[in-house]
Amino acid sequence: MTKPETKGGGARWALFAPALLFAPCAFVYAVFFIWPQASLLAISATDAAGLTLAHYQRFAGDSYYWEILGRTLGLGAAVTAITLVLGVPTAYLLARVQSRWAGFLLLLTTFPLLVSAVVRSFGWMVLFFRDGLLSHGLMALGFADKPVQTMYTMAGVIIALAQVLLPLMILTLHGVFKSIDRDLEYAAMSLGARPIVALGLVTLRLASGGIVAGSLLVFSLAISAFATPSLVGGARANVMATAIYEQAIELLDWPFAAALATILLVTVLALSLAYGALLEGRGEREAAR
Amino acid sequence: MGTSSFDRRQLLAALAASTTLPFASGLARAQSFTGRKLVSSGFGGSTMDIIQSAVFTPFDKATGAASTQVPMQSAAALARMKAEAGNPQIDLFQFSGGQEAFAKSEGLSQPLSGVSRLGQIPAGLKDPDGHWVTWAVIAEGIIYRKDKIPTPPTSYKDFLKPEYKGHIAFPAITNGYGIDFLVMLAKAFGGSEDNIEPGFEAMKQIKGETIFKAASDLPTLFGQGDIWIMPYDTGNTFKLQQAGLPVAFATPKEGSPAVFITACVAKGAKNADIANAAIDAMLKPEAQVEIARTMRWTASNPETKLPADLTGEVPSVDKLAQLDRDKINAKRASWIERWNREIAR
Amino acid sequence: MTISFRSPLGFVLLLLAVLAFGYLLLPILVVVAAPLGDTGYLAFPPRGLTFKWYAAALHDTRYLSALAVSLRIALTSALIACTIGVAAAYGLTRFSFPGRRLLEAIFLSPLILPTLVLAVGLTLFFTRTGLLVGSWKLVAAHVIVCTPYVLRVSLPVLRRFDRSLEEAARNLGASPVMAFFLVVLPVVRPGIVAGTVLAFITSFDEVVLALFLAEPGAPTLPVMIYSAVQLGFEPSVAAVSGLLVLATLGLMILYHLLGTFGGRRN
Repeated sequence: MTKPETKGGGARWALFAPALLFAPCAFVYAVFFIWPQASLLAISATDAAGLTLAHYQRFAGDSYYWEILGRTLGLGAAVTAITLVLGVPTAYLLARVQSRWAGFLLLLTTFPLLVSAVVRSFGWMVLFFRDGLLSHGLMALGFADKPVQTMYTMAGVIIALAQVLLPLMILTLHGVFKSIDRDLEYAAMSLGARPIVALGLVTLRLASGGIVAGSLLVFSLAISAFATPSLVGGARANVMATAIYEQAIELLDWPFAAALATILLVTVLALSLAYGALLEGRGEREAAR
Repeated sequence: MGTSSFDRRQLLAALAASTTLPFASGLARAQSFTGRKLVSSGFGGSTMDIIQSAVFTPFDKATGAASTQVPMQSAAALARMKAEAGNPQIDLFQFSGGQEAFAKSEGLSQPLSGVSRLGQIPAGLKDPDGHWVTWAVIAEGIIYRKDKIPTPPTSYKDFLKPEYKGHIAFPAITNGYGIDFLVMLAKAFGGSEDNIEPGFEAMKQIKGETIFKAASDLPTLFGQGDIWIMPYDTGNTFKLQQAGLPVAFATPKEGSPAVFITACVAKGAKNADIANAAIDAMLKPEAQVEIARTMRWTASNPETKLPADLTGEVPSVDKLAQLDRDKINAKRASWIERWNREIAR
Repeated sequence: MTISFRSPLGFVLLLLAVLAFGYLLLPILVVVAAPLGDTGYLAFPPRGLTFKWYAAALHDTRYLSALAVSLRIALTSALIACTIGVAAAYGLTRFSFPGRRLLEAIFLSPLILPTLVLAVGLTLFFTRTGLLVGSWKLVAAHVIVCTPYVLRVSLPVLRRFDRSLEEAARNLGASPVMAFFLVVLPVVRPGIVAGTVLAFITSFDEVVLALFLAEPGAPTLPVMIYSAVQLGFEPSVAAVSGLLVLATLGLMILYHLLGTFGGRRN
């Protein structure tokens, strides 16, 4: 093997490999995602007379829809916060505990995903009604002095959605925690760091990519979820997905439904690009240090 | 029990076939669909199962067709019909929320043809141009808890009674029952389909009560939700009673609005001939008796003679109030916009 | 253990984890236990004791055939999503080029779009083009919603992967493909497995796309369940989900017990 050949091979690899790696995914996306969605989204910007922004102006000029967009983003933020608070410790302990049953427990966390979204919502319904366990429990513990109705409220939607998205957070973080060398934690502690400092400085920082990925995953799914807001939230917890359903299915106003979907998509793409750029910037600064 | 009624149905089918044969032999003979498949939309769950055994199973037996129902809520079925316009995967559509009118106006359905019993159906229960026909009717009214409300409610005005406060539920108006409730409230307080204002005024007074979206919530609402009274229908009252809940149905003095269960054929359907024949089977008196017995749905064909034990249980069509569906359909979108802002917000 | 449960930090972590498990499993307990009550609606704690709803669920063979359809579609979709997703994720982390972040965002964007929008778009698309037949329409749709999971979960793991290891293997003469399979894959496997499991479960539980695109005669399990509650909820529907949970739990326990015994023998 001579030197130029190796170089040439490397250059060819550098040129063709990305194309080869992206090709299958790009092809499938182009045909079954970009093409159908682009033609659907195109109808959001056209009417009988040609190009129009009417459907977007209808959104922009109506505080009702801004309220829905705000509520949707709030739902995403609340659900992400809950899954982070509960997911980080659970994933960390499951990645670190040395037991044959750790894998078993990890799989156990995915059980909410096994129960059909419809049935899961009925489970919550039973717990959430004024006559249900949650209301009785809150009264018994002294948090409430009269029966509490959580069904058909935004709080109910947040609780129900966070439960089914928590497994996704745990699974994402588990993979990342597993791939972090435990020796780094030992090293930090042997250098005198207290466990909380070692965890905070070393592990969480190393896992920050996973934490961001998990947060974005949970956030995206929370704001686009339809079944849970519709079944648990009833008529009052209107979010973008239920508004899109109402326009697309109940009223058959596809142009406006497509406009709503585009607005949601663009908002979230912008948010996650900004988030990713922020993180990448930080990562580069750290690498430079 | 199951087998004996099955035999009876077979017998009836055979009887029907033998009696029609001399008069319309060409038609009856032509209707052999052996080896072909019919795809219909269906309402899902036990309702779909009952319709399968009351209508499609005997139909398949008589014609050799293989019929499947694809479970879809009426609104979603219409959306699918529209998305598949020109190349429909579903031949026969069943609707419960007035979607047939949209299907016709959007050019998604085609006129029925060769449905021999269409002439038996009264004019108010079918499309003047023959695009759809009502094959069953559901009576709306008030469902209430007998143990909590000892004297049956008599009017839609009763929903404003202070003693029921906190125990009232009603459907969102995207649901067909919800929009009819709004119209009936308007009528109770001096309004109409043209003057919906009193309906919104009345509903505003109970906007803090439980508002739900789907019929599937009913058993839990009455079972665990502490709900005593809601506007719904006879069919669901019967189902709740079967589930062991102490509920009863009351006919309000403003009238029991009629909900039409309709059937139509998708434009360009590959099996339009089978679909038309199946719609004819839906209009059979035998099938309609079976539907009345198992679900308490009212027959649309006046030729249907209910057995004595059912006549008191199922209201007849002429006793029901007919709402102006064309006016309601025309205003639906704007009412929903307003309702979202004034009631559900 | 790095952190002792006796330390305040360890205690708080453990408490949160226990809380998380309770939160995850309580509603499952409701779904499994409530159909044991002999009321015709769900109640918890169940009132009375009956197995009739479980028996009804077991006797309805349509649920079993729907389960078979769901498993087949979920498996096919997850495998395709895993293959194209991991390849793309590897490309995204291994190479730097302009527009890389945008490409990543596009690959991930089906996560944000309500499946309903995808469903209407795809139904229009399949009607107009006539592409694909039978269950492949649904598989194609599920691949689109499953691939982002594979990407989401494997991207951070691949990013964290120490590239010097791969370069070492290349310097020792391994081809890029060999280096990937021998060095990269073993390290990042947990992330890829997690992503594929998520893809499988997502397809298995997906209802909106299936409602629009499943073959008329072959509904998936979620479609069966969804349709069963359309005009009223019966406890036997919860029993179907309950059976699924119990069967999975049984398989998991069996697998781990076998593993434990095998481990002891060794």
